[in-house]
Amino acid sequence: MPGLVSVKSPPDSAPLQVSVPDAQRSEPVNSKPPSPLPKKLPSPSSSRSKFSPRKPPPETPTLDLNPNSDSALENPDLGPFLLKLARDAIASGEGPTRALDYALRASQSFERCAPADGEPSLDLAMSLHVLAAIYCSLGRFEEAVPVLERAIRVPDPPRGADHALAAFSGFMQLGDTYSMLGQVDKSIVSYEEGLKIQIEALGESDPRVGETCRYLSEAHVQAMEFDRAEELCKKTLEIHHVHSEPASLAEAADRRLMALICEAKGDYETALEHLVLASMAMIANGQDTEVAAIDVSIGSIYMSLCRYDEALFSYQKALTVFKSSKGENHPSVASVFAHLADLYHRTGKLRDSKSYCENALKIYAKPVPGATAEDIAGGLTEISAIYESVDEPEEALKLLQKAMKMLEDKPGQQSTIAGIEARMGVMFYMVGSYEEARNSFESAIAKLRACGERKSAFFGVVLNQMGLASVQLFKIDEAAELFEEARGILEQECGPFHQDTIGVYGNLAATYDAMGRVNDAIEILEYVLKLREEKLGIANPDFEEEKKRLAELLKEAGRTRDRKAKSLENLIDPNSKKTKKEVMKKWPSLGFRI
Amino acid sequence: MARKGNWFSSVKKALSPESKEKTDQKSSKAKKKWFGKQKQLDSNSASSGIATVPPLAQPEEVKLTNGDNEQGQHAYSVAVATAEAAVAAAQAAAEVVRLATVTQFGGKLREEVAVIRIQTAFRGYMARRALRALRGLVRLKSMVEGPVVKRQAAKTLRCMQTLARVQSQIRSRRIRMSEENQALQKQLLHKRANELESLQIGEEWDDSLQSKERIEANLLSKYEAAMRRERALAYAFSHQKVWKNGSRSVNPMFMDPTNPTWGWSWLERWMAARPWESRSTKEKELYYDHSSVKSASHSIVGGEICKSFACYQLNYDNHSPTASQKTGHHSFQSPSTPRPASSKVAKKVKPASPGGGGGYAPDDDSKSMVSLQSGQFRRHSIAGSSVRDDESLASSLAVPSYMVPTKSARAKTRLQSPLVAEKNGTPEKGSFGPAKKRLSFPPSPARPRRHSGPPKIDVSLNVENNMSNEVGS
Repeated sequence: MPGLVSVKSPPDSAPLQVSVPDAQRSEPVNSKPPSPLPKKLPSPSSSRSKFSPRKPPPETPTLDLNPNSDSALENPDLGPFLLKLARDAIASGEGPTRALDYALRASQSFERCAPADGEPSLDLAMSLHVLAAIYCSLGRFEEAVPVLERAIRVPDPPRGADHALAAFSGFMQLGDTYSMLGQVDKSIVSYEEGLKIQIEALGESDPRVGETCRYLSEAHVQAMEFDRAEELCKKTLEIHHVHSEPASLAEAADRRLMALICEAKGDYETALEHLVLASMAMIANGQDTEVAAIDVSIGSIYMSLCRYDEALFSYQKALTVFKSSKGENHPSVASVFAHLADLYHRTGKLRDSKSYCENALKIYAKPVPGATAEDIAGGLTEISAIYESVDEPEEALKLLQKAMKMLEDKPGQQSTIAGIEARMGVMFYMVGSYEEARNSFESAIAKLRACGERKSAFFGVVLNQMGLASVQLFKIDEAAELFEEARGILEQECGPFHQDTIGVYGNLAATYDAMGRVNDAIEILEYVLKLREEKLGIANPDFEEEKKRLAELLKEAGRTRDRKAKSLENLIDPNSKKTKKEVMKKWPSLGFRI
Repeated sequence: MARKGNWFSSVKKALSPESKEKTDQKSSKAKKKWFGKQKQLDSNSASSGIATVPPLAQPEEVKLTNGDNEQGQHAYSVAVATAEAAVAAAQAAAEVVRLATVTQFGGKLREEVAVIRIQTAFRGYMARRALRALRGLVRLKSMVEGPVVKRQAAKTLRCMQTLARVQSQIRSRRIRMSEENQALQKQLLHKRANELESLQIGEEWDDSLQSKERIEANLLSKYEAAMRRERALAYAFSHQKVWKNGSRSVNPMFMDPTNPTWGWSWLERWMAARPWESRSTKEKELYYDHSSVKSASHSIVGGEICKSFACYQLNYDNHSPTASQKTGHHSFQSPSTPRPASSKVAKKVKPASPGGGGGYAPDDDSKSMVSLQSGQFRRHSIAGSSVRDDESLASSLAVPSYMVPTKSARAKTRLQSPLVAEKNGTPEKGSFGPAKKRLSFPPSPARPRRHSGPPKIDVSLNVENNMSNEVGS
């Protein structure tokens, strides 16, 4: 080393020395984690500094400023230089197109200058990340995806920590990009991959892993996959419990997420518990507006628990804080109004409810600067939910349409728009314009399919509703297909005993009946009745109706007694019952495509 | 036949009472079909007024084909089947009647009679089948209008309201969190700047028993943390600008995707976590055991990643000498940082390092060799040692870029206490002073030596510095 230094004293060889600290910098790393070899390799400078002695660096890049020739790309100094140009182009506002060009060429250059020994080059990964980021900033998310996919393949996590970091940030960026494209499933897969790499590199209980877990958990909530979200959120809580003092802000944020998950799952008591703890933490940290925001959530839970007085109190408290801290016309004030309107509607004070709705709408109509379209659209859909429940579908439709218009051109809002469209579909259905309802559902379902959200129970419910609209339009074949798909999804997501699944069974049976497939219909109805008799109880009013329908069908098929006798036999004889059960289990997967 | 009668009555029940009239065509095509057929079958079962039946069937069929355009495929097929069945039934009825008359007259062949019977039976079957499908349709319709389906629609609505609520909450969570993060980062940056100041003055660890390496590592990580905070602040500013614009949509991502570095927020988060941790432990003055026990267990790896990645990024700038000659140079991490923001950053940091502020953050990441070098020249000449200029030229060129700011820190301490050189010269402080100085360097065995080359010609302190370095390394 000293020798090298003395030779290299000429001032123009400055970059060369950079490799020196690099090499020794990695020493502490080497001493600890696995193999020392990979440690040295990732340092990009080492590869580059090899070149610098040969070519005086200051000159070459300047000479290479414009070259578009292929050979120029092989200059190892060109890559970093181009990357820098790209950054400067962005910074100086020259326009991202220019930056894109630079970044593209930079990554090409890195690709060519990849070390001969097949060593993965982090330079390349980094230039690809930058390139992808530029694509994203241009709104060209589709083009960013292949770039990031390439970038992910470059680093090799087992080689060392910085490879892991590069891979991790690549995966997370890819996940974000997918989520901007609305492909929630893929984005979650990508996040999960990133988390795995991070855990491998940092261990299970690192606070950074906790943060990633929380982010991922939020993504799962957005995709309505609450079980996995809960799991991840619990993990986050545990990690934060270890690393930060009790009642920290981080823990409060975790608890709020947990409460959201619990609420969505219908576990209101647990949600309330988490919220109260979070609120206490926020109070301890003097975060007034956060406390108010939590109060709103607490109010909603009280409302779900039918504790209206407490809900009212929470809302009022939040309203006072928001009004004083954010101003009378802030969207968050409007959102409290909407909650209050809902509360008054439920307690039967319709006049109050209405006036709160109108007040909220007034605020949304002239948004304060800083309010985003998403905020306002969210508020509008909230108010439309009240109109939906007070049975004013026309008003609700108007609001939903307005909200949708606001979101139309925003990236990453596909599933929100799909939700709004589905709601509009239900509204149309209730009003009786089935054609419009069907179209709305169709468009919502197309969007959800593109999101890859086809697995969620939510999707199944929408499919079922579209099937009903199709029935109203006498598109029986289409309806049958939709019901079949809905049945498959709901069986998988909610299980065969869920109320929704049974509802779809009933619809499907009736549809088969109308198609003349009486035997299929009978089979389904018998299955449903058996479920009710054996598992769910027959107190449900639907039971009688289904029984009547089955009886009618059986009578028509002319095999009433025959079938009944068999089922009795099955009840008595456990063996035959088992075989029957198996048969029953089989058919859902096979479907009735015969 | 009796059974057919039953069917009719049930169908009739399902339909509106005036269904027999053909005038209710508007209500629904399917209904119309049933009524038509119903009539025919009615007449069939009644077996009276037979002659009128076949002509009735014909117009019925025509009407149905008209209707199917508006209805779905299935409706069409049902309609056709129904019509066929109706025709068949009607004809069968006619046949039966004729057969009756034939038997009366007795002029037919036995084969003919058999054929007629078979046809009758078949047509009857067809009619029954079609009717069954129709009745299925009626049942479906009644179910769809029933309370079960109403409940399902309500459930769908509720489900989607939940979805909307959950999504908007997650979105606002993320926005709030990114705001929070920014505020927190700003706070931390200020804290860090203060800390750094006190570090540079050299008071914080006077009484600490840590090894030199430990102190060096700490200082290094502190420096890096400060840089990171700085970048975070730059982020915050640039982000806030976007935020205040209000015209842009805020996305549920951590960073605005319009920010070209938004994907890097992940990198930042990975790297930023570590300094925070060490900061909090330092605040508690627990840093020997903590940094060795706690962070050694899991986060040193991360810390090293941070460091190596940081210096890896730094290298970018150094390896593009032409670029570094440009004055308007931005850090890798915050290319989008608007100029005013970065200058703000610099200003914010400056007061923290009195005297030598300019050298600390000339640019937002202060990695430009050129500007730093020139800064150093300036400072060195202020320090009044013109001999040193040569040395610092050589050494600053030899020193890796990330060291430069700490060198400037050293220059600052010199500025603050011009007598440091003399003090360092004294033996009892010698062990400490150089150590302090060395703190500003990464534990580099090679560079100090390089560094120590010129000092031999230089002042005495450098010799000592050199010696202690040798001991250290």
